[in-house]
Amino acid sequence: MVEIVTATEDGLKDGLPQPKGFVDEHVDEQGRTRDHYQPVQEWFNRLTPTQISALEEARNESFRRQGITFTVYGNEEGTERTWPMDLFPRIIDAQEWAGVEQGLAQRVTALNRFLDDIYSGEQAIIHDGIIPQHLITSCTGFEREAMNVSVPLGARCVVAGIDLVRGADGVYRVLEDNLRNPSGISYVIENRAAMTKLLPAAFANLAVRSVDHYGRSLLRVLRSIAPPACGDDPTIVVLTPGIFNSAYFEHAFLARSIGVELVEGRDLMVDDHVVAMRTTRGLERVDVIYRRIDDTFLDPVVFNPQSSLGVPGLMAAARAGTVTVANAVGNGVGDDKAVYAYVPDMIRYYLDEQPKIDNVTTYLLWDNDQRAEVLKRLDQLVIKPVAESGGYGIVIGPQASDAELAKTRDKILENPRRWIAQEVVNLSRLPAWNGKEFAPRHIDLRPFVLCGEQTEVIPGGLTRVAMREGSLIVNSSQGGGSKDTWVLGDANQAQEVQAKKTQTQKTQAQEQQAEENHR
Amino acid sequence: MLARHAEDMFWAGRYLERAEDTARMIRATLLSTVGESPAHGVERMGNLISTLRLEMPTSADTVQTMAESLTSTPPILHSTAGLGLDVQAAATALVASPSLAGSVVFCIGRARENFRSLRDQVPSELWEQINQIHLRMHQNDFSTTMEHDPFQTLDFIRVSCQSLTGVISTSMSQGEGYRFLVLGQSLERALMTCRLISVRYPELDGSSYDEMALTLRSVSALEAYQRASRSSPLASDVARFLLLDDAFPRSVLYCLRACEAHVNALSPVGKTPPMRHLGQLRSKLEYGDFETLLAELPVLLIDIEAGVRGVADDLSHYFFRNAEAFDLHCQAIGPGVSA
Repeated sequence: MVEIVTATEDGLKDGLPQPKGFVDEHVDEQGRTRDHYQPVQEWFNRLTPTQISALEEARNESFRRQGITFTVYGNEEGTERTWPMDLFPRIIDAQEWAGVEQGLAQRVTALNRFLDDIYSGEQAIIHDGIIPQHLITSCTGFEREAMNVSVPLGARCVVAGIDLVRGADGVYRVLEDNLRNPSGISYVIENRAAMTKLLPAAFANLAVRSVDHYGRSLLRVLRSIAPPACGDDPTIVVLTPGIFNSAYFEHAFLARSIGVELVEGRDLMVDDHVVAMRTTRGLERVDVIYRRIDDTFLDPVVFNPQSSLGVPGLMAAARAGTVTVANAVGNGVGDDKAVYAYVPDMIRYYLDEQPKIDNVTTYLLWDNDQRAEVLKRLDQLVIKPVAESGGYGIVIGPQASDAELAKTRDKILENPRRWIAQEVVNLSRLPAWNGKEFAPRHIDLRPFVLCGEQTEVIPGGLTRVAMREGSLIVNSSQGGGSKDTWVLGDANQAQEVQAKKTQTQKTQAQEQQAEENHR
Repeated sequence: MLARHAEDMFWAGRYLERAEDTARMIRATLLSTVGESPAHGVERMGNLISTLRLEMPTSADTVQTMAESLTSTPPILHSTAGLGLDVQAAATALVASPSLAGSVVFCIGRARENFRSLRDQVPSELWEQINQIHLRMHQNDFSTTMEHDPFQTLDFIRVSCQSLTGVISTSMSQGEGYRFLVLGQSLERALMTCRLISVRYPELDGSSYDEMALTLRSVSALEAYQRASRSSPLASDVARFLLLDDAFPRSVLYCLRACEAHVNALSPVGKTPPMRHLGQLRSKLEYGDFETLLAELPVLLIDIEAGVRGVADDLSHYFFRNAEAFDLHCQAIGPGVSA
């Protein structure tokens, strides 16, 4: 029998009161397993450590064989690692998810309105004094080259990944927005595929909502933003930097599941403001580019002239409206961590609604008063560079040495605009297998939101796990793991699924019977 | 399809075929050395190395260096050092040395690289299969296994390659990409059979059944040959079978016909340069008088090899670079984009 330890710090085991400060997703304050975790927990309780190890082995073997790997930069040994997925799933019940879903749709809608306002609108939000102009123009991700390049439906952010955390109060809050090239969706789908194969019995009767339709949904969204002139059947491509990029697996996965060509910069060319790809039969016009290359590498004519990944003339074509680039260029202005602080204001401003999901308390360091306060309590806060992603450059005050804090202080004073400070969020926890037992580890959640004609939130998302005990850093580039995330259908649905299954089983049994009779 | 993808398909096919054919030839060669004198074995291995057109070091020292670059240290190297080439070590290197261009491991690695950039184009099963073979060949014990158990290892390689071909023909959409892949395989196969004949034919003149059998067996042709021709083999019969047999899928003529069928299907209109060249090559074999062909066999084989290479260049020029279509545009765009 495997013991599921819920709190190692105080040596407390399942069934005993929780230490203060963390929410354990699967048990309540009294230490009782929450209802929606009950079946899965029971299922895991029945496994022996040997069985768990066998499952882990099967999982690794399957990921290795399929080449589901990711690359860690600057790490000599094993630059290609198999994808780390913990076996214990994260489960979100239907009602809880409904709230998250609405909040995410609201947030991404407002962010799209904001991006379109800044790049092809009146910049009303600046003129109305909601966001200071200097904040926008000083963003690293603000691209003057994108000014007045319009995007059909104003869908500048077609695919968003919004990082959610649950603190001590258990409330979901947004930790950061990823509006440029959020990655991870392929792992969401592969995690599910792996779990379905490894632990089919654990899914019994739960009506876990499917994530497999992502490719179809993405295709629909990409079709909806094609330039109107290109007719009913736009040619869509996925643009990748190539096989040496850390997310190449995902790029290939997406191209395959949408059913379009995976192109590199050298496969494309621009002639007379029209983008075309080189095929075996000559040039073929391209209408929509789902690019997974960063802005500055996209077009050497207007951005980094050294880039060999991009396509010369692409921005001119986008400006001429003959091709749609998704996500649009310049979205970095929307996920800059200093602009992030204003997203609740954007929601109020553009949608005239109250935000359904709040931000984590954030301090802007270019503001003199806030900076002074922050510098006083640097050792209690998280300090983040505003334009980075992937967990690079983050300083966690309570865990940093004095020397690190002093260095951070100098950096902040040198360029306050480049940094923000946030209250430490005591990320919620779930058990993860550490080789011996299931022990609590901190987790967050990156759901994916698609925006085109309609907004669609993919059920669940990527649950990331800080695999080291006590660690709060969940990024896979920093040694984090992942979990399959199950969003449960509502109870009626569950019954329906059950009924359907019974029906299918009956039919199958009947067919078998018939077949046997036939023989 | 993308020109780059077509080219990757073509090369994946070539490397895959090269890996399989190399393993087959090594197997036949090793089999023929069993129970023979070391000198005999060295000669056979030397023959094989020239069939494969490999730059193989011939002195014992360099073979040893090469073998040391593998993970194991082979003590058997010294046993026949005086003869200049250690058969077992050479075979191991030909199979398992990742740094030896043309070794089986090298070819599988290249095929995998090509499939990796084609992951969105080929069925997942295909990728998983090649990945699995590649991973197995990169396990530490692979070269030791090859040394200790060469026949089983070589069979593993053949069966792996055949199962890949099986996945290709049963689970891949047989559109453009498939045709480029199979085209690459067929072209490489034609080339390898040509090379085999050119190296083996002089050996066959007036020689024993064993030599004939070795030659045929290295392309899995012995059984097919025996069924097709009931007389005991003559050198010219073997050459005719490997060059011209209508039904055997590794004969040069058969491979060229397969190439032709795929190129015809791939060519949009009219006769494209690769079509013309393939047609010329094939008709030379198909309609030539066999006695005349046989009389000038060495020259003929060189011609065919050169011709097949020429076809590969045509394909590259016509489909992968799409030269005519692109030249104009690239001039208009200026430096930074080369076709």
